[in-house]
Amino acid sequence: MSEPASSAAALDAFLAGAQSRAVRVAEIATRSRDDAMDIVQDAMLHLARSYGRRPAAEWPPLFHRIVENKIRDFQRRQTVRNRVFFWRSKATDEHDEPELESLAPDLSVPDATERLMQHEAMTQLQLAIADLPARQRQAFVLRVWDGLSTEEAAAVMGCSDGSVKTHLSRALVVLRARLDAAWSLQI
Amino acid sequence: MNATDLQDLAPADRAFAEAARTHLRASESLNYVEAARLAATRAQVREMVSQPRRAIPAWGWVAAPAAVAAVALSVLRFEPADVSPATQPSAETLVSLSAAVNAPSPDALVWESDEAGPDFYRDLEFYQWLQSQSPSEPNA
Repeated sequence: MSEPASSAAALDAFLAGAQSRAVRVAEIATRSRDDAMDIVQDAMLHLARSYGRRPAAEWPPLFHRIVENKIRDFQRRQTVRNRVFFWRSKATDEHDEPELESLAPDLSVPDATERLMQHEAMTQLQLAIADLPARQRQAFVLRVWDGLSTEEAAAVMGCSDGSVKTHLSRALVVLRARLDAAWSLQI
Repeated sequence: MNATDLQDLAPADRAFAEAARTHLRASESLNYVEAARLAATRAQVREMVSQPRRAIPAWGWVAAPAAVAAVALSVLRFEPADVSPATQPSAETLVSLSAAVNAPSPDALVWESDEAGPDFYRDLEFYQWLQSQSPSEPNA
């Protein structure tokens, strides 16, 4: 297989493995599944265009950083848009027709009771994570969700190991304060 | 990733983080439509990466710097034209120029008219004199 073809296959395999988590991370940060899908699609194309020919080992931190940057860009645009179109209330969006994607069944959890419990816990966890400051959220996602080491997370975030530890510690304090009581009933 | 990568956390934090990880990873799922959208994007990605890079031709590496250098040199060497008024020509020059301009051209058209000129009256006097010299003329 030629070098570009093997590189394309490797990149495809990497993205196929990372896409679900990236969508969830973006969804929690943006609180919108549709915007999360757009962000991940943009990030995939950005990675291929700018770093597609880099060694495969460099893709995970680059993809993390691209997704995070696009989330930040999205949040900035949202802030500006909310200032300009301040009269548009959230209520108008809530009455919109549901998207086709939201109607598709999620079959990952078979048991209804377990699914309900998980849904409640996830909702609370998702809200708590979304309310974290950006750096704390990033540290939590990279260290806890992705399972990166402190050094790897520091490389992705572009800061020192100590900063990652500090951000993660603060994030855990906030999240535990909000969720420990609720989860004690569900976990 | 296994749980050993959270060993640097305090036990209570580690237990919370592992529970959160379990919940978060369990929520990673895509429905059919989302999976199809991302599959289409990955197909686009494969196409982008598998296309060979278009190399710049060898002459381009020479021509482009040369063109830039030529433009830079022309800019650096640019001097604005002298716009100060020229010295006034001498009187002789003006006279010679005007003489040439005012000289009658041999090819110039001459205005001609049916109106009587000096020759006409001279001829008329001659005609009248001639008539007076010939009494047989009825109009005399």
